[in-house]
Amino acid sequence: MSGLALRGISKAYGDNHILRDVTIEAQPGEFVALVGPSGCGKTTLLRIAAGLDHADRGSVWLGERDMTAMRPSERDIAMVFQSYALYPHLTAGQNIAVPLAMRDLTIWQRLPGIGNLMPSQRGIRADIQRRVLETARSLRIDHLLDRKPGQMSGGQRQRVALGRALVRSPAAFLMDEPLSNLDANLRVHTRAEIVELHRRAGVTTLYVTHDQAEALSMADRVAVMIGGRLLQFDTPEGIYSNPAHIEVARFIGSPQINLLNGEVDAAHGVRIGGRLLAEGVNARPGTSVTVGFRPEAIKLGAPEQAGLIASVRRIEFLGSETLVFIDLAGGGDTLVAKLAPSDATAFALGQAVTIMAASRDVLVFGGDGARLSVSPPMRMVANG
Amino acid sequence: MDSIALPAGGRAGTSNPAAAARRSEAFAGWRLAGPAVALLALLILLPTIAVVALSLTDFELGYDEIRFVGLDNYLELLDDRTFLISLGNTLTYTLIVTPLSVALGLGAALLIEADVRGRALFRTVYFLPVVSLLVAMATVWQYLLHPTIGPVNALLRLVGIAGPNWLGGSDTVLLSLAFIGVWQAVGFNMVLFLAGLTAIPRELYAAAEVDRAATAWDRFWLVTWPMLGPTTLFVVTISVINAVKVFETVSTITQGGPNRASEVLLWTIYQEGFVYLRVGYASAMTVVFLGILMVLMVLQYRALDQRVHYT
Repeated sequence: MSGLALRGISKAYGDNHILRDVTIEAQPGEFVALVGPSGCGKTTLLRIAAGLDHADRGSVWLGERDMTAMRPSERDIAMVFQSYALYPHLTAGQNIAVPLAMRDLTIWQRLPGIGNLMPSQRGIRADIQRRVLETARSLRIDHLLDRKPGQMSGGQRQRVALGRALVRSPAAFLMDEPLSNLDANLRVHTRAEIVELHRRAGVTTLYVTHDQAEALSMADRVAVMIGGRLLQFDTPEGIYSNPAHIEVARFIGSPQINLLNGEVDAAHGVRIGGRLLAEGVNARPGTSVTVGFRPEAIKLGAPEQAGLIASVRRIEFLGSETLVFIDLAGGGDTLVAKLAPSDATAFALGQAVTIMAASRDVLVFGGDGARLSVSPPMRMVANG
Repeated sequence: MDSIALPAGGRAGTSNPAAAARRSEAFAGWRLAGPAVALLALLILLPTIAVVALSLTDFELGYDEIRFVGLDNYLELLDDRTFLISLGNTLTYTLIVTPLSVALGLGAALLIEADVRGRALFRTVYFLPVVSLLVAMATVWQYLLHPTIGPVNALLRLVGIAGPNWLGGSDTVLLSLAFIGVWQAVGFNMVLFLAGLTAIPRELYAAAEVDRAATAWDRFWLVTWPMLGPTTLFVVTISVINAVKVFETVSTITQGGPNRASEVLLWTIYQEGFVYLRVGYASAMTVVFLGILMVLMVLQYRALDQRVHYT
């Protein structure tokens, strides 16, 4: 088993910089998700890892092997495409057999008709058949092997594409939004299956998605890319609760993180509209900062309690949770709080409330978007 | 208080509104298709029926008499040496021109599509023969293939070969005409193949590369050839029809000669119908000609259609 490393990758089309010095090193057997909004360069990065595109600068390594100059066919890497890219004229079984036939049979043995006369091909073909069937069984598509892609549903095609990638036990897997063409139910189901497959095969996997829920739920580590830069590469927990950059905080999490503009005062405290939110912020007095807290970090209290004053604008009941949208007094900002439905019953439209958050849940970002350290650990914020 | 009488249904008499809606929809369908159906009947169906009808008569242009002769015209065809030679020549011509023009058209399309410089230039150059008037170009070919002053034979003389009289010898004339036919058809086929090639999803080639189809040869057989199936079927069909219909070159360059060595179906029909004015007899030939075309097309689609469409 070997790790997959992309080191210092840059790529530009003219003045359009797709990737800027991106380095991602996946440990052997690790499942790494590349996540970011569309156009952030994640698919280009994956195609560079596959050898389908070439970087202007940087190198691609599989274990100790420098693959930068290798053709895709030499890299021992399998890829699942967003469109699945199945060969429409071949049956599911033949599709899965293609990589094996290309690897194990000579050019003469592959010739239709004449190939069957070549010596020793019979044994190889039987072996290929056996392994196709084995792979198909593990994906539970062995009953579909004689069908062509046109006769299969999206989910079935997706499995055939997975099978084609799995069958030759590659050194690394690349997946380009493999679930985006499935309906919502099937997507959640297949998510679990891919994780299970990865656990069994233990192959280093690079998984591209624009869906943060997919990235957080499936990956060992998540690489967040925005505007061609790698902003953070960390565990899902780290990405969510400890974002390194305001864009990461904004992109990850649903509903979106609440962001408020504040200012650093002379005592290194952060104030919003004159109220002290956090203390000990590592920034020069007078600088503008952005304060963020997750919807579930917000506690709503009665108006007479200490905290930012606001009023309830809208309440959305979602079953397992309730979203409460609140307008901040004296400013146009609307925040959203995620509450347990039983807690939310205490609030009604138009009601005045105060907003509180535990100090460890408050994130402060500088003017350039980078996270600012806060020391000592903040106390409960918004006192009076 | 009086009870209020609710109207029982929209229109009196229509017991089943769904059936009425279906009828009116069918009627609308026919109305919309009407102009096309009328034109088809007027311009294609009626003339065809007329030709079939004429082929059963001894009608000759300029004579008032017209007599029903049954299948006599067809029986005469069986013994007509000119017609049989012409049939054989057309077959030979088609067998040379179709495979060559399809293969060369595909080759040119692949080369142009392979991301070379001057793509637009090559596309235009290869397409030129299609837009050039064959009647005018015939003169050029006559010069090129001239036994004494022609550049082709001049080139051959340079390497010490005495070139034949390309258009004047009965052994070479059909070959020369076929060559001109290929020259004209390649560009058209190439454009059709180019359209077919651009319709192939790029991701299939990416998948083929990742699946270790390392050489262009492998990718051609794994992706290009099967994905071009519908295009190829269409190109072959068009090429066969065009080859069977060869007329211009024969009429302008050889007039079926020498010694009937370039006598082809359309030329024979033209001679019978418009030179000897035996319209009935020419009609019988036309019916045979149409029959051959139709049988070819039906065979082709029966044999291939299911194998080139995958969805």
